[in-house]
Amino acid sequence: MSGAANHNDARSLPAGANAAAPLLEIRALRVSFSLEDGRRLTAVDGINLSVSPGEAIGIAGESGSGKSTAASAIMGLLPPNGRIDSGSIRYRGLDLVAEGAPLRRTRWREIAVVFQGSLVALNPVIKVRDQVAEAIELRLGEPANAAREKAKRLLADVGIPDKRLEAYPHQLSGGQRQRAMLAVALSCSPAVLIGDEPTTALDVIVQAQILELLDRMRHEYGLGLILITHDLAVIADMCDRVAIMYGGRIVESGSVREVFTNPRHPYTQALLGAAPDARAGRRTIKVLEGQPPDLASLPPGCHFAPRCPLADARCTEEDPPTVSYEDRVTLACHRYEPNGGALPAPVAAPYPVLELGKR
Amino acid sequence: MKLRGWLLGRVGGALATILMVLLLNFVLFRLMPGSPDRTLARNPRVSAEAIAAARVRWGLDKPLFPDQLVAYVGATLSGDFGYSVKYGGREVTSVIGEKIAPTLLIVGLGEIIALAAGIALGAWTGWRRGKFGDRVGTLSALILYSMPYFWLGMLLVTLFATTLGWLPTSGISTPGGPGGVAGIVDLLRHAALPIATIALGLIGQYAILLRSSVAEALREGYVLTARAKGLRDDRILRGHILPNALLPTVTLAALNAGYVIGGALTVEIVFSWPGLGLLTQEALQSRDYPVLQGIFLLLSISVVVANLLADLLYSRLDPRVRHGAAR
Ligand SMILES: Nc1ncnc2c1ncn2[C@@H]1O[C@H](COP(=O)(O)OP(=O)(O)O)[C@@H](O)[C@H]1O
Ligand code: SF4
Ligand SMILES: [Mg+2]
Repeated sequence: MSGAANHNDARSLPAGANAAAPLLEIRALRVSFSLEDGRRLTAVDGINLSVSPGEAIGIAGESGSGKSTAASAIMGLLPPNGRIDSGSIRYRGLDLVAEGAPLRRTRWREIAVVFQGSLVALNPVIKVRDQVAEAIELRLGEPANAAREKAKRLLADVGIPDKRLEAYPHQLSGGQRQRAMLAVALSCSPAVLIGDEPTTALDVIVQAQILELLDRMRHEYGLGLILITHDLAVIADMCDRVAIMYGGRIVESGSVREVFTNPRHPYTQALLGAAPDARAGRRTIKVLEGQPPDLASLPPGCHFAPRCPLADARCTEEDPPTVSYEDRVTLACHRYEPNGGALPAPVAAPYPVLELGKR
Repeated sequence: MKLRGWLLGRVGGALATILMVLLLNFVLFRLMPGSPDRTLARNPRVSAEAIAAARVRWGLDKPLFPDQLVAYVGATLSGDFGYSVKYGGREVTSVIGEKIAPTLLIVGLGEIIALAAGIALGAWTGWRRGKFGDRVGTLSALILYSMPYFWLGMLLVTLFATTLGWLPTSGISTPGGPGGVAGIVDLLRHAALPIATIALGLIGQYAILLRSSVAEALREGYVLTARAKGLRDDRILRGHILPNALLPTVTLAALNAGYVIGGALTVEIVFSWPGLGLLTQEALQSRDYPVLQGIFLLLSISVVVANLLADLLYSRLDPRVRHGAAR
């Protein structure tokens, strides 16, 4: 498709934004929920994250590690019991957390999101074409006819056949629905796209097709992509950089190549080692024992300490600071000294190893 | 065209139901205690010959089955509902016919007002669920919902007619009242309280149902998508939530339309409103079988038709049902 890329060049920024500032920059973001019993649960605990145009960032981590909460916070769509305690989210320099932030104006036009379940994310009683056209009409102010035309082109572009244009969501297959959702997300040509487990509910082949489409769209639209998934293989295929989350914190981040070939944080090692690896004909997995932390009652220190084979006394007393090494990797682990900023050698955490049998 | 098959099936089912009702109607009324000729016999001034003549005229001298049944079904199907016992032998169709309009007036307007107000109240409280406005609104809806019609009606009469004297207490028009435009105003003044009673009684039902569907819809993923799209609240409510949440309420309204006649009974009695409800009461008291049968048949048909209507409406409004039926 032509035109999509230039649309992005010509996009007008919201008032108060600065074209020279980073596309999306999250600093020391803390998000908590109030629970029924009166306690507070800190779901996102001081994360830093930034995305540039055309760049894909993967966020990985077990379920409950705060990935979706981070995405909701960026969209300004936290549930009523959630709140941003501190930190900043800046879009082209525009603070989205500040009082009176123009969230309703930045949503979808600047930052759009594709959720996991496309059947529930699409309105069951509205034709998909109209769901794509809606934001074009209401957010970009285009006339209804032009919006419907554009919706038609977008749907064709994501691979929805013409004869399905007037279909309702339930008439489409799971893969088609996710394609349609992608068209909805791209309808206002956003600069940032967040995919929160966008392919989790789909079967492997459809998943691969959707990811390929997402990748194509990223390049065509010059999208800054935040891809949330617990599937590390997806991140390895799709992303430039990766952030590993545990217990609401980013424990390790860096280029996909660096983090995946030299995982340093003990949790990253467990995560990468938990996928069967056919190397040298042996299939083994690292066994991560214990449960993810209860975020509503966290002891002091490293959140991973109860499950970490490398934990020592300091780990249960002090939070490990997040240290940036050579601008390539960040780590939050007491095992790695600041080292004057020089990238340290990985320390292998001695996890129990399970043989899955020889080939 | 599977949809047409489905439609034919529904209509066929409705017709079969009406036939069953016809049979039931016949049996039921023959099982009831008392009969018009015996009522007549209680009057000492009516001679035995006159009673016998009446029995012949009403067909009561023939055996129940098959003669009376065949006569009944045949006559009913050809639009002949017989003659009223009470109203000096007038045709049942004309006795009932002239009462339909007054009933339709109060129940129809009452339904429309209740639906509009119930939708507004339900959408408002559902959107604000848990907040103060919702608590007040929902409590009011519950109170209205649980109030019987006659109680509500008497409250309104006491307040607006007896105490304040703003509106007439009963009837459909002022005896010897004006005609023309002034007559219409007079009619509406008489209809106001019955309409208000019916509307208030129904508002709660609609509001409570819609409130729960709206509150439920608010948790749906498509609402999150609509928010993420940066749509305004009223657009989210009207463009995304209501098209989903209204489905059960609209269906209920269509179903309620079937109870137009029955539902007005108590209201009409309270306000002496000369509609089908009052007619039913009178017919019951005088064991006016033909009129009762006519009313019951009409009532059953309207319930069956309303059910059919609700089905069709739901399938029109919900694409999932529409295509499910057509698939
Ligand atoms: N609305 C909420 N109220 C209370 N706790 C919540 C709410 N949403 C999420 N959480 C909690 O926040 C933590 C992070 O959840 P989430 O962001 O959904 O994780 P992920 O997407 O990584 O699986 C979990 O412990 C979860 O139970
Ligand atoms: S800080 Fe300590 S407990 Fe946490 S990951 Fe590093 S070694 Fe393990
Ligand atoms: Mg999640």
